[in-house]
Amino acid sequence: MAEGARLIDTPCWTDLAGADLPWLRLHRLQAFERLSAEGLPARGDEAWKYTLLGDLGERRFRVASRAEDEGSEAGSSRPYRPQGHRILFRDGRWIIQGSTLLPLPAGARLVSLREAIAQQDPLLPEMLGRIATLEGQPFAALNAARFDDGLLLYLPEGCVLEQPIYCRFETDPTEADRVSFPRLLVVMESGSRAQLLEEHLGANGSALTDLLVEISLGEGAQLFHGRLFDSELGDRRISGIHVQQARASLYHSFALMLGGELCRNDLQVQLNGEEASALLEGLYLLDGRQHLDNHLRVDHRLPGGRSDQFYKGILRGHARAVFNGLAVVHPDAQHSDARQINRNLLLSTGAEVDTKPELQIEADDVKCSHGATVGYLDQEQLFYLRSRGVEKQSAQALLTLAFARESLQRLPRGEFTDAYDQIVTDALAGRIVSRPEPSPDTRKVSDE
Amino acid sequence: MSDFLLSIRQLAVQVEGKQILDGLDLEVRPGEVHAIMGPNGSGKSTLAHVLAGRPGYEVTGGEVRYDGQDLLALEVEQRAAAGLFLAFQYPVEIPGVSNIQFLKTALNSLRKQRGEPELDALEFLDSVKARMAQMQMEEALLYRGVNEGFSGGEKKSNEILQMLVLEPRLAILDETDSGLDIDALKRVAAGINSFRREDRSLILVTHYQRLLDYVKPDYVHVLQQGRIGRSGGAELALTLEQAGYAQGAVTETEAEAEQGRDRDG
Ligand SMILES: Nc1ncnc2c1ncn2[C@@H]1O[C@H](COP(=O)(O)OP(=O)(O)O)[C@@H](O)[C@H]1O
Ligand SMILES: [Mg+2]
Repeated sequence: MAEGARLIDTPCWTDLAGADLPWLRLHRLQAFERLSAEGLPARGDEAWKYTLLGDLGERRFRVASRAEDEGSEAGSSRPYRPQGHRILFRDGRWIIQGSTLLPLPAGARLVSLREAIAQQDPLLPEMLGRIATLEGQPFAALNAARFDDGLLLYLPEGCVLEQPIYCRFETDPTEADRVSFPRLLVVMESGSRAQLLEEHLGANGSALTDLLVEISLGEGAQLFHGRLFDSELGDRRISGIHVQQARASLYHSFALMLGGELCRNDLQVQLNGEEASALLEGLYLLDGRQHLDNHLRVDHRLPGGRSDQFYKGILRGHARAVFNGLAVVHPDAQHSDARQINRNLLLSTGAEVDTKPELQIEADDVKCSHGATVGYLDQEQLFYLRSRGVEKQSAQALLTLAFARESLQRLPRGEFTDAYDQIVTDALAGRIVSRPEPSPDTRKVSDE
Repeated sequence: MSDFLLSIRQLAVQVEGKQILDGLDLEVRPGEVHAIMGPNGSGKSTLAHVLAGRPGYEVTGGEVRYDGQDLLALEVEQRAAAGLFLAFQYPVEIPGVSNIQFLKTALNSLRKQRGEPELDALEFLDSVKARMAQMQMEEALLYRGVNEGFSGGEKKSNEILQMLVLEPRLAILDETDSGLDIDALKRVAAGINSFRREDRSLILVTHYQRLLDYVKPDYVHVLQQGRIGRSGGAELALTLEQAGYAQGAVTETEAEAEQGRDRDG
């Protein structure tokens, strides 16, 4: 088998999909030049200072060949039968045998990116790479330089997808040090609606997934974007989600994050039209030495926009979470409503949270609030439950679940709603059984 | 074997180094209703909390026997399983746990600790609804978070509802009457009266005699300087109402006589 290569080593361009298309070559080369010039994040890099990249830059990773991915029987043992379009990605490649697509409304396109490139889909040169900012986003640049497959979703005006699109991302568990660069492009014209549900599973233990998602929402378009991370310790997943929104569109993202050794999400939303809304929600349950980074940025550019960042987390062991939420209200964005909440529940004294909700307001007539808390279980609530006869451990479990429920209640109704609820219930029942006695203080970082 | 359900002797309690209770005696037989009165800050809630096992209080002296056991040695939930119930002066809100889930979890935990089987879900729901109807509570409150956004009256009614569902042997009601309008007070009082039985005891903590117009106590005690300063029958509450607590200061002999009467029955 071929020797692995470092992430910043020159890719073998001719192996990549659409290698002969000039616009695509240019896109990749520009991204690669940026990456070569800027390098992977170093210690002093503010936006990456908490992210434990370890030896990622020096490590030799290997990209699986297409034949290996398509031939492999390996995969998650978890059943995959939700109602909807089901797409299986193995090592970042769309696997036809594992995918099931339902009939689509007229004009809608849901195809593998590789296929779209082969067909020279006219949307690609127009949109691919036009939404994501690569500046200060080294892993987005890395993906742009090296992606080979992924997904294209296009919905024409007024098109409503009744069934959700599930995308399951797996890594081949039999090979160490796999790297993959899946790339998703979602273009929704005005009035269209869809639900996109990512599932990141995997038991590889040493894989790196560098995902880049670009989303464009036309006027009044609505997208629910669910993201589930439920991989083994050892997996590393870095994703960049870049969204641009036209007037009165709605982007609702909900990330349920249960792990991996390293999980980093950079979510950037541009509210480019009036009265556009972005609901950015997340719930994380971390354990052991897991590390999770969520970096959110919303730019309010025109009047009447609404953004609501709502992230909650439960940590035990020596897990560490970083929340870095920024909302920028530009001078023209009067009557914007920007909210940020990050609440954390620590179930052990070894867990750690760094939280920084930040507002940057350049307009004068706006409604903004932000708050962050890091604390232990509420001792009053615990005593109340116990005084009614609920045993201590059950009371702790009940309160922990209640903490998580506040996030889950924000999910739209769908088959995945129950699935998410079950995953959280199981995770809490399995993991949060006993804990060292914490001191009953609550550290309030800031509040509304 | 003593015929007291609860027997407190020379209880001394500190909070953050401050002596709140200092030599408190109290004895309660099955079926009795005792009212504990006293001005704000006299230590009534402290007594109630110590009995229920709330953390943060340091017992520096005395002992508490409950049904023949050393109450203070029991965990909070064990006290509940032994039949002790505290209606909170300030009921706690628990968003994310529905009221019905809370009641069911509590009752089943009590049953489990007592070695009894879980209740049938439908039977349970019916009996809860019947008690809510009795308390004139809206059923919608069952599906809200525990006390979440409840009005003051709803919170107090919810405490009594829990008492009726969990059926303790000794219920301590801490200022359940405060903040209620007259109609709510009557409903709560009716709930309390329906709970009374010869094998169930009540300690009503209050600083007004208002509630005692509706729930007639067998004994009234006044908490002063960290101990029971004065005890009497239901009429003592009226005296206090007219004269105030300061006037109610009593001599040692009077107090001893009252205690003696208590003990002799
Ligand atoms: N957690 C606490 N920390 C400090 N002092 C307290 C605390 N709880 C109660 N106290 C003090 O103990 C005394 C008795 O309070 P409490 O038992 O609540 O009185 P009551 O219920 O009769 O109004 C008061 O002086 C009060 O300030
Ligand atoms: Mg009190």
